[in-house]
Amino acid sequence: METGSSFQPDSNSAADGREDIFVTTRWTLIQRAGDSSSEARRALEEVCRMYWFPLYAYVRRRSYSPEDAEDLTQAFFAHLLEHGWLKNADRDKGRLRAFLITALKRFMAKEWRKASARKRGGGIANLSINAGLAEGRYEAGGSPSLDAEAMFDRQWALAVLDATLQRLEAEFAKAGKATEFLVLKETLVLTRGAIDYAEIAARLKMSEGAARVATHRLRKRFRQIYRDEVAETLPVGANLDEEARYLAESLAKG
Amino acid sequence: MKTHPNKTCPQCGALLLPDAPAGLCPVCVMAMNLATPTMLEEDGAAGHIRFEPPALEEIIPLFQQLEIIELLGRGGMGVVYKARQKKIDRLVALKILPKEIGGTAGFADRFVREARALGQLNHPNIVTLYEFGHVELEGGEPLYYFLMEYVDGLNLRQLQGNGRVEPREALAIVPQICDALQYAHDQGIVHRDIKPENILLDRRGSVKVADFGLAKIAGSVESPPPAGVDEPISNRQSTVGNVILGTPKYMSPEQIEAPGNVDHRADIYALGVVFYQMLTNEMPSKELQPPSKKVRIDVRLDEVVLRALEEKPDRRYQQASTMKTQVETIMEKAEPKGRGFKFAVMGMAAVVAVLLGLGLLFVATDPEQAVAQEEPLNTPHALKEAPTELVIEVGLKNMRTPWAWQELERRFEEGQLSDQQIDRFVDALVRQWESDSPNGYHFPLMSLEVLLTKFSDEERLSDEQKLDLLTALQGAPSVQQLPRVKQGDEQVDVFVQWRTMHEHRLFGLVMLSRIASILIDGKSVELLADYPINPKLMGAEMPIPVSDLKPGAYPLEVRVLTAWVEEEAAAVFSADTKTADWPVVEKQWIRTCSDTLRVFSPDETVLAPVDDPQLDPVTAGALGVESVNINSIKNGAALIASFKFAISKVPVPVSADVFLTLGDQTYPCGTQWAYSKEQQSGYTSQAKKVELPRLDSSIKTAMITLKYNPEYLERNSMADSVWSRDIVLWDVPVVRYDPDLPGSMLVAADPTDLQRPVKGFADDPRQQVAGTSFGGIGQAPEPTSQGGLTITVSAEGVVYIEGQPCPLDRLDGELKRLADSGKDSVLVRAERQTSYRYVSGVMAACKAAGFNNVIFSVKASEAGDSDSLPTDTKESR
Repeated sequence: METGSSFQPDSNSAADGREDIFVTTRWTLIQRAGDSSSEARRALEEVCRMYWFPLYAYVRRRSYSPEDAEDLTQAFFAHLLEHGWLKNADRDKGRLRAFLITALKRFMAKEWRKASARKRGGGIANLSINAGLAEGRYEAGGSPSLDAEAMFDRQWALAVLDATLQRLEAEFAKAGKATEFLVLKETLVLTRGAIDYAEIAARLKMSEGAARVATHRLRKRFRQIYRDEVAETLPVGANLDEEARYLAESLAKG
Repeated sequence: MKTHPNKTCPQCGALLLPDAPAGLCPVCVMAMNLATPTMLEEDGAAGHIRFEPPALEEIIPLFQQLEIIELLGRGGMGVVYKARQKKIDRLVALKILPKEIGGTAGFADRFVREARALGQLNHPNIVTLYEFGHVELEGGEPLYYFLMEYVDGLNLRQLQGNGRVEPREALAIVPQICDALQYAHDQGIVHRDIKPENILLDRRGSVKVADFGLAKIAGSVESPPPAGVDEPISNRQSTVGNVILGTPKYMSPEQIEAPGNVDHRADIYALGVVFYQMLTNEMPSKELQPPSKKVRIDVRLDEVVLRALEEKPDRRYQQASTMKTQVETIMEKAEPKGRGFKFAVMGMAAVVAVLLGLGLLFVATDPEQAVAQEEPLNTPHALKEAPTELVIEVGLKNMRTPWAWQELERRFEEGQLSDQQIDRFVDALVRQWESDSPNGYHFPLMSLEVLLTKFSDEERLSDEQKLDLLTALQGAPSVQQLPRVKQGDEQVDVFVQWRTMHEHRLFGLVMLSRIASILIDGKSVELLADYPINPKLMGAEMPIPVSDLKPGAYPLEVRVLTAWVEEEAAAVFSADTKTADWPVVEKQWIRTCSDTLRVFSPDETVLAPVDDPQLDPVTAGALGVESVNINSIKNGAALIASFKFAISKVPVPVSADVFLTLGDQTYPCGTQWAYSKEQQSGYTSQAKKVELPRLDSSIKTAMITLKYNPEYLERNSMADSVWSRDIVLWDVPVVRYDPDLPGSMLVAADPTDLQRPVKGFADDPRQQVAGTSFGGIGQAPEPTSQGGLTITVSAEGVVYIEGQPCPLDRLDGELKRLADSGKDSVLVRAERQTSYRYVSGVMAACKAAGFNNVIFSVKASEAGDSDSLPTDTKESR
């Protein structure tokens, strides 16, 4: 075997441990602690950063102007971070995705008026939402026939995928394999038969066998991280496959 | 940010948007990496290698003589497209064998030899082979294909997907398969892969067996090369010593043992499996139970099925024709006396009914429908002779069968219907809807719609009649969730539901509904926003402020504004368009519904506890569990137990904490609530899951306890009462899957438990409808020119310029050429299913090529209308 095949990003054993959906997830951590611990608050901030765009897209699809949508999304997160809403999070309903969209709808119906009546921003740590970028993404994403909820689901699925690929890329970069990732990532969309291992081997200056192994590991790691990212949004005991399937379907709707 | 028209997904050919994560096509990333094992099983192709077809853009240029219309399906033996032979304008099915297959030694010879033999088959029950051969891919790799008769219909698997095939349907189908098999066997050709997917039924109910001998041609594929790299599970399982033949579930014992060496009796065995499955909706298990033990059928059928399923080929029917004769003998004797038509005819009528129904997303599974088929008069044959008044009467009694409506349509076309007859018919129809479905008729109209549309097109309906029909269809709105709230809460959610025509159109009109106002105690409440309907829910949910109300009961009135809008105008606005912006309102009216808003003081309970034993949800048969399933996770290191509740109309709402007891261990499983709404016929709960450390293999049953906990319903105000006793379900069978065997084989408990239907809990028919897909046999895009240039983008992302497919790599050049030749405007049309990613890329390409006016239009109606795309267009931004 060639030496090139020995590369393995990150520790696999840790990853295997995280496959278990019954361990604490980011979301269960938030749920359990409510907003009392700084750890939970950090987790929530992280969640907000990852998932603001699907919410923004939902608001836009509900016919709010880009400016209003930006304000509203900002205010929603500020409100979420500030108030004790998480205590009301329904553990049985479970999924973070469902919680956020329900909370947002309630917020739009009720709190938004109050929140916008107050002068915005006073003492609230704003999340950095890049409005121009958001609007660009909104314009580009999703069929115009999608209703607001389908739009939200689609953007949510994209956000999960995006988080997965970013983490994967970061892992490779950390291992000094950024170029390898650039070459190998293209294989993620290909069927096995369509992968040109010889070309990959040539581009990465490794043997064909090593290219096969590297490709295989990338796929495996991708799956692990993806499941991991989905699990992070689920409560303990939820059906991960069901959620993953739901997300895949949401994407396929275009 | 702009789209990059030239950046396409190398897998599916879709144009990529700038937000594609890491520049990868999100749909393909998911598809290539996350197909779960369950999906493979459902596919029914678990026993096959799942070949991946070449990309469509590779294929199109290779078949210049064909216009490739759409993907019909893919399976172990390649991929099938619906196509049109341009010269003779004939629809065909293009089957492309997996390219992996072509490179194997000796394949080319075997292909030609076998295909020639298949080409000789000429039988009404066998899909005709028109042409075969190979084309060369860019790299010179051969790509083998068949051009076959296109069958417009369903396969048996799809038919079964909607529930059990009725015995008499099975009896009408099986003899035709026997005919096909006998004919082929006489020519020395063995099918080798008889299974529901290969049995096609056209719209007239004729059976066509597909893929004769293909298993043999594909049979010697080398196992896919990459050593040491993980292949999908399906691949590993299916290669038996380098040879793949048939589908294990339908394979005879001798075929499993020595796949290369079987005779025609293997087909008879496989047909036995198909027959058994049709009759019982189950696969035959090891301990073969006669079908009549499972369902009520003629016991003489047991003999036929069991004989076909004999383990030893010598003991089976030796000829398919013998089997056919025996089935027909039973059919003739079963023919009810005194009826003027043959049993076989009725059987076929039933199949046709299902086929027609499926084509229009309608499922013949409700009891009403079953009864309707028993009605001697409600058949095309009998109705033909009946007087018009009687035809109308039969139609109104059997609203969801097509016969009477088709008969009326025939008479209308022949000018036999008088204005008075039409008027009386419309009156009766409106009255019937109003009395039977005061909340709106929510089934598809199908043949009835065709009939009404014809009346309308010929201007035989007045505007008043149209409005009456639409209003009756819509029905009255109703408050679904009970408005209950505790004092001090700031808001209450009011959920109003009504049947709406929003997703449905009739007479070129669309009916739109919106909440107009809400009154509490006669005073109008300020709406916090303009609440649009949710087309999926056919209703709207509104939080309304109630913070200043004291405990008590208040009359609540919801006013719904409904408007009648021209379809064309309706298409340009979305579900979110504000009421004030509704265009071209021809007529609008307000309907109201009312309820009582109750405000409870903080120490009051909202729900009245009920414990009348006569209303016990379990003894009433309204709540049960089929089985507790035990699966392994983490490679067998741990177990997970899961179960679902089957719930039908509960006499009293239930809200409880759920506990699962296995042996002496009890595990909490969250909460379960159930209450019955008017239209609800039954459903299953979300799976309850719990992780177990280990499980004693002697444990064969489980106990499930529901501990009364009204909190969920209390919070969600869906009921005024709640079942206040604990519920215990005991003796629930435990079904275990062995972690060591691939494909999760059943090892413990009675195998028949696996598919045992839960008594009394029919699936919600609406869910079945939602899950029904018509297998891609819908309408292809019909490109028509509307002045300027018309580009059509199919659901698969194939781009057609004026009806001609254009490969994506040539798109920019072609557009540039057309723009330079003086064309200024372009209409980009899409199917409803077409991803917007494809469309937006094409639109960007048009703009880049210099077209000034780029208009986007999407096909508004569901597949099924043969009309071309409607003219409703929406300006692109």
